[in-house]
Amino acid sequence: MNCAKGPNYLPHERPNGSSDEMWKPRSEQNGYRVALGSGLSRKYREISANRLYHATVIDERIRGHGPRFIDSPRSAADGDRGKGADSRSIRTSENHLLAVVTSNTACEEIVRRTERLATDLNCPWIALYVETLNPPGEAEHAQVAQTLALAGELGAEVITTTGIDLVQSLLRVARQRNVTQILIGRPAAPGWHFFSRDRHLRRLARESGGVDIHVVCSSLEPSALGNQRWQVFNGSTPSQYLIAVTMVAAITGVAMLLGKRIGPPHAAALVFLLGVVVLGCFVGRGPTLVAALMSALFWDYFILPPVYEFRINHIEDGMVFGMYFIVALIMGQLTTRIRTQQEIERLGEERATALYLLTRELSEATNLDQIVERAVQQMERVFQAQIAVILADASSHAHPSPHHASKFIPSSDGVRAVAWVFEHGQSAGKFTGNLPVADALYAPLATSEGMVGVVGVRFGQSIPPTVHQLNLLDAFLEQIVLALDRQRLNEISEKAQVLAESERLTKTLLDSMSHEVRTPIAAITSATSTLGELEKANPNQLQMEMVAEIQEATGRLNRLMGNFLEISHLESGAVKPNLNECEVSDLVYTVLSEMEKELSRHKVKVVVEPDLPLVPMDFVLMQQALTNLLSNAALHTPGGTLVEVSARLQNDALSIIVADTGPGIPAASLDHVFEKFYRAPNAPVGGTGLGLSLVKGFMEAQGGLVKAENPKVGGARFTLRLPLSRTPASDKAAL
Amino acid sequence: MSVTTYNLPAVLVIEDEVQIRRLLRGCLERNGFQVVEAPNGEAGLANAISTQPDAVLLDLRLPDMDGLEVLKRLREWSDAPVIVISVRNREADKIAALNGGANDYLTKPFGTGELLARLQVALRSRLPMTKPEVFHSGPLTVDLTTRTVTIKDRIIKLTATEYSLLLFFVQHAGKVLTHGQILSEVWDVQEPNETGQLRVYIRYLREKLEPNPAKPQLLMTEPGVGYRLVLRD
Repeated sequence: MNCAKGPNYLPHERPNGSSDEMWKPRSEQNGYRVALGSGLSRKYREISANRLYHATVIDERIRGHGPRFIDSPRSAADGDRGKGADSRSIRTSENHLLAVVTSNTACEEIVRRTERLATDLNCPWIALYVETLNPPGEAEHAQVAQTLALAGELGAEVITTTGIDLVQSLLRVARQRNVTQILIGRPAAPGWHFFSRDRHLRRLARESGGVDIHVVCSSLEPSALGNQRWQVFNGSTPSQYLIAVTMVAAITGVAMLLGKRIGPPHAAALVFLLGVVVLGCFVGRGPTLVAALMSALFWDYFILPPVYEFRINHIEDGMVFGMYFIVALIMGQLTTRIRTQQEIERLGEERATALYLLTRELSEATNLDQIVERAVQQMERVFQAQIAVILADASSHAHPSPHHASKFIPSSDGVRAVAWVFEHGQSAGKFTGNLPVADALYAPLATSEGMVGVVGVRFGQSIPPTVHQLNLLDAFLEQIVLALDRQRLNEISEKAQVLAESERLTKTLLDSMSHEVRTPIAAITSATSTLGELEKANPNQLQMEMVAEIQEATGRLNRLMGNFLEISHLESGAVKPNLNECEVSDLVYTVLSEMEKELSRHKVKVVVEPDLPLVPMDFVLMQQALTNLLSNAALHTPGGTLVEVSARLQNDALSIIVADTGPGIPAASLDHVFEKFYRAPNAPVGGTGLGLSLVKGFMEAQGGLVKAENPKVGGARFTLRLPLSRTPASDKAAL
Repeated sequence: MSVTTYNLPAVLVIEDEVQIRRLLRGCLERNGFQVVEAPNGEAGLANAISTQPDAVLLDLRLPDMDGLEVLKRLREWSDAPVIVISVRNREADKIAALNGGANDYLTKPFGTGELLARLQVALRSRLPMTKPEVFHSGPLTVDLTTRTVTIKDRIIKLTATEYSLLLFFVQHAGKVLTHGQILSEVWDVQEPNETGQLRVYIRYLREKLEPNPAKPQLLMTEPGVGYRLVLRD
């Protein structure tokens, strides 16, 4: 039952016509088949990783069982935590994979394999670590933490849970998360079957129900797994062994001193048993086992006749010896288990309390500073560490400085690590694979909108943080991110409210201005036009001139008011261009017919290229832009000047050119003509100083542009340009 | 005097600014109209019922209700021509008013000459045509019974779509028709911004009907709002 069996799984051996959705190896000689019992109908597969070819073939077969997705982006492998989360959410497959992480070094490969499979199946996946009875040592912890970090980077949902029974915990998580396939590492070399995961595998296969189990065999030697057989003795200090030995010695001494007074040796055996049970309540499994062994031997040697001899004369003495040994063992095991359970519950409760306190503190915080202060305070207490919080600031993203609530300032290496975390969205610094020389561990605070900050944790301890600590740290960071997110959304909604209010005010003001100023203008216009009619019937030179003066001034006042309102409207961002396919000649002639009176003193030439296509534009904005250009030309050139309006296609853009043969734009003014209220030094009276800046605003709102120049032939030339196709920029402007 | 004024066309002016009302009254009465004034929407609607005016001048900004609301309630029972007079010069306002049943839209400030011209057009559209099956405007003649279109006695051939477009203009001659109204009537398209094909057909019609399609004399563009078929003698 090892990987050398690989050839048994050559692809051509797949039973023909097997309609079963899973592929079962044909060979009954297979070690696992035997181990699992041939009667098992579990869907079960072994992947031999040290034989790449087979593994690839089998991977393909596994893929074949899930729904196929033509596009299977490997985005989850991109590393970014946020991206990983995104890709999880868009995966819609019915599959859900679970990689079982242990302290085994080979687990990295399981994680990578699962990731690859998940990417190919386009489904989410989980990396699960179950902490069981025997807490792993420091090195194993580091290994697990590293593997889980890798899984997180690869886009897995990382879950750690604590449970006495690996199989039960594993299947509990699998059912909660609707996992369809579990990938688990191959157990240690045979030899210590009672404790090895071989037993777990069999149970897993038996109890998995509808979940498929894949056993992944790694090419790496499972280095850490060898510890498993000695884990019985882990977690106990030498002093516990000393206590155990002393206690047994004391009991032996007392039993010898009292001698026959306490009755037959079997009664003394009960005293020894009591000692072991009591010990079991206080010390670990190892010392209990040692105590049991010693008690049995001491009892035999010192108490049981013949004294000072390892000899058992009677069969019942032998039975007592054996049963006593077994009872001691079981007692030791049971008490240890109870104590471990208590420990697990204590840890769980500590975690829950810490999280509860954090959540309560954060929920009471009303602003960003309070959130950071309280988070720092809570984290300091729980992790016994110094905390620094570096918040992303839009204004100084390159050199973010720690928040004032921070308890330490990152060193120069730390600053580099912070920058790295900001850039990559992954943890860096001490105890991580990235920039481990830094003074502290730096973890990202990433909201749905991206990185908002980095938390630096300078642990008081010199050893790497345990899985528990890292797990709790993750949970803390999540809570902090939630609080920051909430704060951010609050701010956004407040801003939006203020903005909406100010927009409403602006609109009301403009509407009111428009009404209040235009109404008297309308009255004046109406009155003077009536007056003009009357004058025609009964002409009086002076009166007619006066009426004309009033009419001209009123017209100018109205134009000024109109321009002023337009520019306010443009600047308030309320102008939303309505881009439609429009005919260029219609535009040009509509404007010209409306400008007929204003241009009556000028010669107008129109050159519209024939067969122009329909061009997407906001007809009204274009009309206003062109009107302003023409009225500008009429104003700044003497009567009789030629004004030429031409429209043609140039480089995928429509150009409408208004050129005159007047004096041209003063060179010093050329760069300023589109500025608000800019008036060229020699400008004649009558303009508002707003016309050209409006043209610019109208054109830009449509994704176009306007430019002014003095051509060599003389005069001034203004060009309106509009892109033919709606580019993203113009679409953006359209929104 | 009272007998003659009785036969004059009545114009209802719904306008909150007393100075404008005064000026309009003076101008209109001098030009042969009788004027009924209303300072707000409620009074305007009440006067519309009691006087049955031949035309209504309606301001959009009224103290008690929006002018569009007055228009809507007026249109529930009356087809008297309504000319909106407003300082609001945005196309959206014009389109809303025209789609709401207004016959024309005049932006303040305006000269009295323009107002009188628009009023004449609005009133003329109400007059029974001497020969209702034949439409005349300038050189254009449309015989609705034989579906023949002539320009200065020259017969113009139109496609079915062109004819139905022209027919819609003829039925509402002198009135501004919004893009949305035309698209919905002629093409049964409910998306008022899809004006591309409408502009193409307007060009076809102009090429066939206008002596100089670039400088139309009959089918006028109302920028950002729609088109109007000019009523001429």
